Amino acid sequence: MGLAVILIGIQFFQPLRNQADEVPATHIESVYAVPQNVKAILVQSCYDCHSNNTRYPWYSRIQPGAWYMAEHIKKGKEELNFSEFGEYSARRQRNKFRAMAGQVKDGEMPLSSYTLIHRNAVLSPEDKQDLIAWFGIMEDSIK
Amino acid sequence: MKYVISTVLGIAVFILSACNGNSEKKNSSAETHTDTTAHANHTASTEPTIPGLFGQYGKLVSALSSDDDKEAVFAAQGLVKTLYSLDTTRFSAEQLKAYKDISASIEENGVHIAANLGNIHHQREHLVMLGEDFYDLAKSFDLGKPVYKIACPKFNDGKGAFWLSETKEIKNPYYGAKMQGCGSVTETIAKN
Repeated sequence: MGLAVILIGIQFFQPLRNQADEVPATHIESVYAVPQNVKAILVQSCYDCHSNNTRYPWYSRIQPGAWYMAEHIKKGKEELNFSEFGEYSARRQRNKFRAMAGQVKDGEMPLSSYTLIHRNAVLSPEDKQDLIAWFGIMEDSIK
Repeated sequence: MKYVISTVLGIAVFILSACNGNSEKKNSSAETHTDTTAHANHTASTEPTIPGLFGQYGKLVSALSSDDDKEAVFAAQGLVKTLYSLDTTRFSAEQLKAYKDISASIEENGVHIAANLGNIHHQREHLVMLGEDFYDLAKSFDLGKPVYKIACPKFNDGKGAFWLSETKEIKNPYYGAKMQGCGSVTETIAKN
């Protein structure tokens, strides 16, 4: 009974949502020409935690999961925020492209805890190839 | 009425959990604190200067060339610590500009290496980026002695990577014992 009350109680405390209406001028798609296939993968598998715009599933309102998710997104954006990519120094952008390629290649990203629920965010071998190739081109283009 | 009670209870739980969260945070910051103090001995001799920073980078390179991820964590912590206390007052405007850009990257890479105990592969990925940071730093600052750029063309699927060293001795930090001899001096950086 006590637990039920607590569970109901915490539903009234919802974290702020990570959502934006516009694509900002600092967004990676605003500063670089992102190929369609790469863009589709980024939207599907990366932006939820690494941009200012999360596509929330219906169950994201259920606490305490919503807190967990909010914390997750906060950390993800600190590490890499595609919405602010244009604000990064050339050095940081280059580092990020390289790190992204490494993380995707090693299967570190997207996180398994995320793909466990978001099955459509799982990267196919072709997706990985496309991403790694583009990240490589971008890394080399920034000097 | 029920609604009110559950809301009140909810608030109470929220506040309680928030307090808990805080005390946990305090604990962990205390732990980090002890860590850094224990560590101060490790890094006591490091001067908060650019050559001192290079010294810390050297320790990190040495740790990874010995496949020692734990020592790499210590060295990376020392590196970041030195960075935070570095005196920039005597830098020229041009040096300061370069330093601001490079130091942000050194910090991020250093923090990553320090946070990746047990994942030496990831530590090495960040060492590649640190190598570039320190190369650029060596081009902007007088280190008082020459440093050598040592390149290993095999690493990272043939993309290659380099590191900097005060000696010409090859002890590859990207492969460690697996291929410690991979690398050759490709440049001597000496500022006059």
